[in-house]
Amino acid sequence: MDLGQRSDDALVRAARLGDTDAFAAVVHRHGPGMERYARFILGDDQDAADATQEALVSAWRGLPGFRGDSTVRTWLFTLVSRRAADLQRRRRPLPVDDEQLERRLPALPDTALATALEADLLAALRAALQALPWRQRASWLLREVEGLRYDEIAATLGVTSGQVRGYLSRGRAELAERMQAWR
Amino acid sequence: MTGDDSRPLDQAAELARRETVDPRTWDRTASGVMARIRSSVRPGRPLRVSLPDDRGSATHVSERVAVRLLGEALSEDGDLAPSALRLEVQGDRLTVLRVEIVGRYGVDLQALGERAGSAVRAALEGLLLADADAIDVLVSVVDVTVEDPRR
Repeated sequence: MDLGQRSDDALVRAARLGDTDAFAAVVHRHGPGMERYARFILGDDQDAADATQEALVSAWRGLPGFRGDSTVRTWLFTLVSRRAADLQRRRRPLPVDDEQLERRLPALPDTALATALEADLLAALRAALQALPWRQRASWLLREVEGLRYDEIAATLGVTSGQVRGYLSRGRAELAERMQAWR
Repeated sequence: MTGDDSRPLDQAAELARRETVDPRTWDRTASGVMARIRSSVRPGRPLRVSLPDDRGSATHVSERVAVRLLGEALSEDGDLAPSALRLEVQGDRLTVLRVEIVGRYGVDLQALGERAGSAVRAALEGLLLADADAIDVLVSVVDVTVEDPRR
């Protein structure tokens, strides 16, 4: 049976018995999303790759203890969130350059202009995210980009669903305010 | 916050959802993960296959090989999938084998446990482990699933 067609749970059960190919299928299924999340939350590609790699290696080591209380995806996002938080704690906070949040209109053909605008909008989002407190940033990314439910975000961050609602509300308001220049 | 206020943020969120990691960058991350995992895999404890001969030499099979073969034996039954195999070893002798399985919803779980036990016993004998019939095999059904548990 093609490993790519098997469920997360079946792959994890096989991996727990030592099947490294089954674990590789888990890595390729969820790893890119984990690394995207880590890039947005850390704002640094190399740190994101390191956090993702550490999280996946710790997942392999933690397989015997994973009892399926959460989905495999939620478990993996929990691990990468912890690794990213560890890296963040060791880093000096970076000031957000206000110019990164301002709208720029380069003189380009329409399609190129649209692409440039999208790239600038995304850059502005990255900058605005870096200015948010950690849990607001993580909650917004997990909800709006990764599509996790409130209870899954709560499990990932080790908080309650009510707290997640608060983080999301404040995070959305702050991000919208910071990106007003794009209106 | 009005709808207009959130529009740039909604557009940025949509762009973020479409964002993908460069395949070459991802391949480096994934290769690094799998290299570390494969290098960390150990053969496990040696399990005695036969009693020592006249000259005192004995044959062993690694725990990793035994677990793989036992897992394959269990996976032949379409109503169950192995979830964990825990081996208790004294010296180089396997004494207790704890088998955790996931069963298909609606199947008689007691009968399923007995089938799993029989499959494991046959596999242990196939491995020619020393005193295979003296090994305690303890089967637990730890979960049930509506789908094929192997998928």
